[in-house]
Amino acid sequence: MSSSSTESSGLNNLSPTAKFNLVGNQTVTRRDIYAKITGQRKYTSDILPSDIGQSSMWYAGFLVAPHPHAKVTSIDVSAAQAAGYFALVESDLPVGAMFGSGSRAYPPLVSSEVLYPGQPVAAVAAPTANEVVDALNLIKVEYEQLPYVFTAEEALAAGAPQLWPGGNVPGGGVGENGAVTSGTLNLNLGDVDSALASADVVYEDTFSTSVQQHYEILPRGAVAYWSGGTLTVRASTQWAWLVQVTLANYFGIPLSDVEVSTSLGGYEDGGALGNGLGNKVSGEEYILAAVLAQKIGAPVKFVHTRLTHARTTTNRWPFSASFRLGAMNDGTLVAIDAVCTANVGARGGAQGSDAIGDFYNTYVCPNMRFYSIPVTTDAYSNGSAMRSVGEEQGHFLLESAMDELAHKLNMDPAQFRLKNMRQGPGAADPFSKLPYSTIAQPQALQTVMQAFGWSNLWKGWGVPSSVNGTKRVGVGVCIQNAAKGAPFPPSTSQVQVDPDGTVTVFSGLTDHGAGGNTTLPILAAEALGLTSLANVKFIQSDTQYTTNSSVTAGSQTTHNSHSLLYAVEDLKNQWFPTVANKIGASANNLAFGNNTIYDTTNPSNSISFNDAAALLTSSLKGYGVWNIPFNVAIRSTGARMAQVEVDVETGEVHVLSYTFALGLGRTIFYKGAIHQMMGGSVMGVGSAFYEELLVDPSQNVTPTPGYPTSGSWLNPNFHDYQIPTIMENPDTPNVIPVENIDPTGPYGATGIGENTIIAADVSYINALSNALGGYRFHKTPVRIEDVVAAIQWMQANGTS
Amino acid sequence: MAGEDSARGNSNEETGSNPLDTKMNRRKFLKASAISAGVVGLGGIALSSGNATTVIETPTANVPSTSNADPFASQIVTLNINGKDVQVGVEPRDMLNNILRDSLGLIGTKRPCNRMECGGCTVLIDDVPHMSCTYPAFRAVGHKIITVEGYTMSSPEATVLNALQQAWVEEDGGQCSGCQPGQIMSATALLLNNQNPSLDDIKTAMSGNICRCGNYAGIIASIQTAALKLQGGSA
Ligand code: FES
Ligand code: FES
Repeated sequence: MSSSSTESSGLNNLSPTAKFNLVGNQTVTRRDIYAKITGQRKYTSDILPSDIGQSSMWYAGFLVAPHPHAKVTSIDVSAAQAAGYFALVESDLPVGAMFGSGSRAYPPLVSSEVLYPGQPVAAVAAPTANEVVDALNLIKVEYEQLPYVFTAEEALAAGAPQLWPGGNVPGGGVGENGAVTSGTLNLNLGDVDSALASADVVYEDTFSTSVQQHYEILPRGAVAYWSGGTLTVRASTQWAWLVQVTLANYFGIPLSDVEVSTSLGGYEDGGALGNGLGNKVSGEEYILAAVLAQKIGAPVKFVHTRLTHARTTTNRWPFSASFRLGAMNDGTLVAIDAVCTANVGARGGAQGSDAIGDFYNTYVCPNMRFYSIPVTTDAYSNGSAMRSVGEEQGHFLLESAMDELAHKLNMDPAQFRLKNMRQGPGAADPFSKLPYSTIAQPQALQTVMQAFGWSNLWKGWGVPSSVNGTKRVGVGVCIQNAAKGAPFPPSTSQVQVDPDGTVTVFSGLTDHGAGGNTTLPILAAEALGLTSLANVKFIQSDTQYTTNSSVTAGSQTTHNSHSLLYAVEDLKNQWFPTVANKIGASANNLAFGNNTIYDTTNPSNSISFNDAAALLTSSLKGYGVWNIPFNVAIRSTGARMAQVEVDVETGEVHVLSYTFALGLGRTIFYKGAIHQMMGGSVMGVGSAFYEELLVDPSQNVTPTPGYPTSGSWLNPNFHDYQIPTIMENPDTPNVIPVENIDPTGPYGATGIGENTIIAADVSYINALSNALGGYRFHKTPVRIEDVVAAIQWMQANGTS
Repeated sequence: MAGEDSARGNSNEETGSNPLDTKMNRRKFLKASAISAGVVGLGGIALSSGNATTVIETPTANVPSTSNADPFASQIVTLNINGKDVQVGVEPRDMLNNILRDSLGLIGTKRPCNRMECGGCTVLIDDVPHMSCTYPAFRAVGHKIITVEGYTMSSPEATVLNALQQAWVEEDGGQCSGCQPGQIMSATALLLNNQNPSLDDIKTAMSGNICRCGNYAGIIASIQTAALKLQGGSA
């Protein structure tokens, strides 16, 4: 764990008490918000022909399969074509050109067998948006329904339909009698069986989660157009370079012939994502819009409807774990044994390892054994990242089980965690043995306990904090320890200064809404000694104008932007000799001060930033490269407490308050950090109590025109899926950034990202459990019927 | 299943049956005409094509009268948007949202769901918030339409809108901000009617607007700050 070279060159102040101009400054406002709320900023779905220098464009849509598993017996697009529309089916696509990678690559349209409800079978383009509906209605597809499997248990059963050659377990297999013969993850530490045999308390239980949808507010889409052999795609993507390489491979053309940007990212402040949450990385539509644009010879715009967005794009996968936990009477954890199953959808790969990493990192335990299998099913398209790669689900499973173990020990659940959680200094990953770059425990939990007033509110197991008529209030606790995902180095970026003093920050990263469009300019401006962002421009996420800064995912945006400090260093090395010459100093002694460059050996000898810029005859650009270190474990740690009210007459649940402390290294963009932490906590309310994509489980019922067929999704829309509204917003949020300086991050920052939602749901559910006599909930979301069952259980047990 | 940009389609999206097949001939004709002309438009009729430049400020005298002949025909109508009359071609199936975004280029009004579930498309019609994705464009004729772009007007609505937009910056009312134009229009309607809203008033007024980023705390703070400012307080 070595300090960065940007620290030794004076650009990266890692002192915990350092004073900054812009870093952590509570008055800095979100740079792009005004343009967005006055209609001046264009998200991909807002792009009009004039924005891309065209006079018109065509509009595209998908026809998707209504069945979870079916043979396509015929597709007839002739009527659509006869009406003057363009229609694509699999045979119109380049032979062998596949989407995805590895053994589960597939064509972006299929005309043989569909594996999930919502798989695209045809695409159309029409000259007006209205006519896309007309064109789709002219396509006739006939299906022969096949048996399907929705749950991991069904998929693993003997005789289950096999989705892929080699079976329903990617990388593994199912032997006779349905026994799993191999899995993807099998970890063993110490001697779990002996530890369980000698433990004072052994607790066994199974927990599970459901299929959820990102439903990022603005849907995924793309505008594609060709100019000669060059393809341009303006897409809602978190990683323009992945789309670029996908398209270049698909069309068999050089990378230099494909330009991809996040919306209008190449223009100043042009990239606008409308949130991504892990869903806007790549997709079929980026390819199909490009194919259609090529065939038509005109730009083509595709934007998902809410239906195709739910069904065709990726989802958060259902994850389950059967735990056996062992502890001694004094509360010491001695064994964790977990068998996990991830339902990764029809096209998902091996998933689950990130969550397992959380299982063995969050607590210190000498004996641990983990077995995890990914299982493919027809339930949905692709289990993928949704504000974490399995860790949101994993924390519900783990922190439910640990809470109940504390219950079995009759121990205060906060004290149980304080006793057993991994903490610094000297914390290390128990399997890789890599030392943590930083850890916020136990500080985060202690901070939360104090701010929340835990010792007054916790009344004991099965005893609510308060009872007022039919309303009962309970409190709950959980901790979190999650991986920082998506380590795809290097991250590169540039910082330019113009003779008029304008600074331009170039980054390949984009902004889900978390605030990167402000955070990144702050990082560069702080390094340059600027006290305002007024003269700082930001160019982002365009393969032509910026370079690859890695994917905007995995809670890594701030961390990956460490490359900006290296860019400033490079800029400085080019610029300072000229400045030194002018003011009569040695370049080695110069440093950035507040809007100045000054001689560190004689601080009164200085020049203003703008005057120093005016010495330049042309723009000067510094280049920065940063590689995320692999010799440390970079993890995000924190703790939460919540107060939840339940009305035992109606079953209505409301999160009254929560306190959430998260180690983020250093707060860079203060307003954004606070709201990001609150926003994830709100999304966690949805995960805890509402969000689940439901399917009709009946097999092969003859479809009635106009009604969902058997196996189809029942609630693929905002309304029935139930996203938290302002009515579900906790009235008293309290978020506390814990500044546990990480020497690998810029100014010690590790970033926030996914950790805002990780463990939020289980903090509320543990509180609800406390309100209802200690009833343990076993799955997310906890729906009203589950609450009613808990109330009935509580009343039958005489605890009401 | 349909393209996001379409107006309300046949709800029977997956079976492929189309009770309105008969309209295809006319559409095909219009489309062919549009292509051959190289621009989207026919005889002075602007189609809801997505081209911001197709707004027709003054209808030509020789607009063919298609309305009697074809119930699906586009007609030129006058809409009063942000204090200005604009003339634009509207098909009977067009919703106000399509016209604002695709024909007039007023993309400040978003279309997150296109099915009246999120409030992201909210505009004011005679100072009442409406979801434009499901508000027939013809119905808006003769009414005062205000969008998030209306901050440049000088009117009581613009005063409120401006105060809210400024407060949104100060209080960090939006994250990705994809939902925020709709939030701000709902808030504008609230403050036009209620200068001193309670938390419950705010929650009720904003309950039809989903924020997937979960920035409700910022939204509440922004509305409270704007309300104070409009009352002359120093928020
Ligand atoms: S787009 Fe109109 S309510 Fe969602
Ligand atoms: S700010 Fe992103 S959905 Fe509201």
